[in-house]
Amino acid sequence: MLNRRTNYYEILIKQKLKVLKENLYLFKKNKLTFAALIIILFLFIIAIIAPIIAPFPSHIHGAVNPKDKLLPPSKTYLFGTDELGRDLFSLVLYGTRISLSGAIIAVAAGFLIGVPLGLIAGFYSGFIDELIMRIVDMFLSFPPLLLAMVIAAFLGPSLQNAIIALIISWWPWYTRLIRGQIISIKEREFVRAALAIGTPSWQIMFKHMLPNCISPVIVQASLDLGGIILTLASLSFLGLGAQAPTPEWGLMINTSRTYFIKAWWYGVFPGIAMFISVLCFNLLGDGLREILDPKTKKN
Amino acid sequence: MSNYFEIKDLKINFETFEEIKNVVNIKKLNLVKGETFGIVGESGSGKSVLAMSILRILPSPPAFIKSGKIMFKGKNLLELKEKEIQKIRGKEISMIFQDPMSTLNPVFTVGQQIMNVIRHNKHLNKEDAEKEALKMIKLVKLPDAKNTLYKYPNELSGGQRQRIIIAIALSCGAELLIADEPTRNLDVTIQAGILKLIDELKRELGITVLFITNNLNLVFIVSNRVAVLYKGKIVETGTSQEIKRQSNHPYTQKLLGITSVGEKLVI
Repeated sequence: MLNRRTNYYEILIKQKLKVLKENLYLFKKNKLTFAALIIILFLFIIAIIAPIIAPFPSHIHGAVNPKDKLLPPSKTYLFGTDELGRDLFSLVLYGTRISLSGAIIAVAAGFLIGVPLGLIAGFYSGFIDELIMRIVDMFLSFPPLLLAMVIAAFLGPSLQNAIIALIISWWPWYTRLIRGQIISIKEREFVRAALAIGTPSWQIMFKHMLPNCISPVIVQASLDLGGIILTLASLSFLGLGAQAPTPEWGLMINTSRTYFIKAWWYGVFPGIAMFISVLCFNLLGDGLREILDPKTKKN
Repeated sequence: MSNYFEIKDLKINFETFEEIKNVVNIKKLNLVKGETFGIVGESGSGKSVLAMSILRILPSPPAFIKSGKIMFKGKNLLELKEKEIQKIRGKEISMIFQDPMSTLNPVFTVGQQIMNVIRHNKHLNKEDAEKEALKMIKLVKLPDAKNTLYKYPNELSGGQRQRIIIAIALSCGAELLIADEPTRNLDVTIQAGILKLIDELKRELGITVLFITNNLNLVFIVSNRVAVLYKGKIVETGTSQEIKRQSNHPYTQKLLGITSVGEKLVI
């Protein structure tokens, strides 16, 4: 068929691509966000290929080399070595993988738990709303780090448990955020119109309301990625997260305290890695907010 | 066909902590199949509450239906289970709303919204749903139906949006259309167009229209019969001509006095 009609969805995809291009343009105009995005992509690449590019892959899994212990940065050991003679450069590279994957798992799980609950609470006001929100309040009444510490201590110290603890203490923030959004758009006419035309409630919730109120939550999630990296490192620093010999940044900084006077590089390089990743996620979150919520746009 | 659609002794209260307020109190109201029935009343007289109670989409609390029956084809809509009323919404009774600016979901294109409804209610595949959507857009006489499908609501004018809303409302074969002030935020020429469209659709599809408005002139133009609603009660019912010529209730007379009688809106 030569004169085939263009499919509805083809045109739709073209339109979406146009919007994407516009957004990319906004990204590029906002240089700081764009730089942050590039660095984050770079960090992700490092996280994926860390075991390949690390000069001493065996050090990652606990191999020791005592004769080279606490050497300053040099050509062989770019970031120096630790007290067991392991190459810090390899460890920091591998730490990227641990921190990023931990943060993404925690945020994604928090998102998947928190958002549907918030939707349900906002949509069905009354008893269900009260029940969900009081539970949320209970979680929110503790500082997130403290709550995560208690849960991690209860579950026993390990990286997995630290991530579980973070998920448990993080989801209520999304629930509260999305519930507020849902309540504000619930009274809009199009929701009522969808109801009048016979749309089932779950479809109204997920198809009509969610796309209208998801952007603040996405911004919050991208900002949270930075916060979670930091909190995960804090838990490890306190001994409740990753255990030696896992090359986790917070754990490395904790062990480096003993050698700080003799070997400054031990604590500084993991710290810089953490600093860069947290900063970039925060910048990205701010940039996303400007794109998704034009009201906050600066002129 | 007196038992096509009938409201009997309907009482709706708004209950808050401070007070219980009776907003709708209707003794009897019946619609004949195929007619346009106008309900006219000032704002706050309970028109929209009445309209929403028919499809049971009143926010409750604060609204509570205290007593009464809404009979539609022998079924009492107020006694149906949520699943059963779901089958009536859109498929048998449909509704268009006051404000065309906010009735469409801003994040989807017009086509997506029409097709969504069609696919959900008729279980068609994508291509058939698209054909059906195009047919509906042509039915409401929008020029350039093809391109309209890909537009977002904010790209359309108020009149165009209201036409789309009518298209969505009728896309699943509803036979009773509740029009809750469909021309409220539109200017006069667009109003005339929408009224004409509703009238034509009524003839073409043989639907029944319950037309709710605060504009007495409009009611006389479109409706066969009219009920005047005042403070939740029907104070007068009759054919348009009867009400226009000899109204008995002082409130109707007052309303008629306000409307410039000589003016004639041509559609």
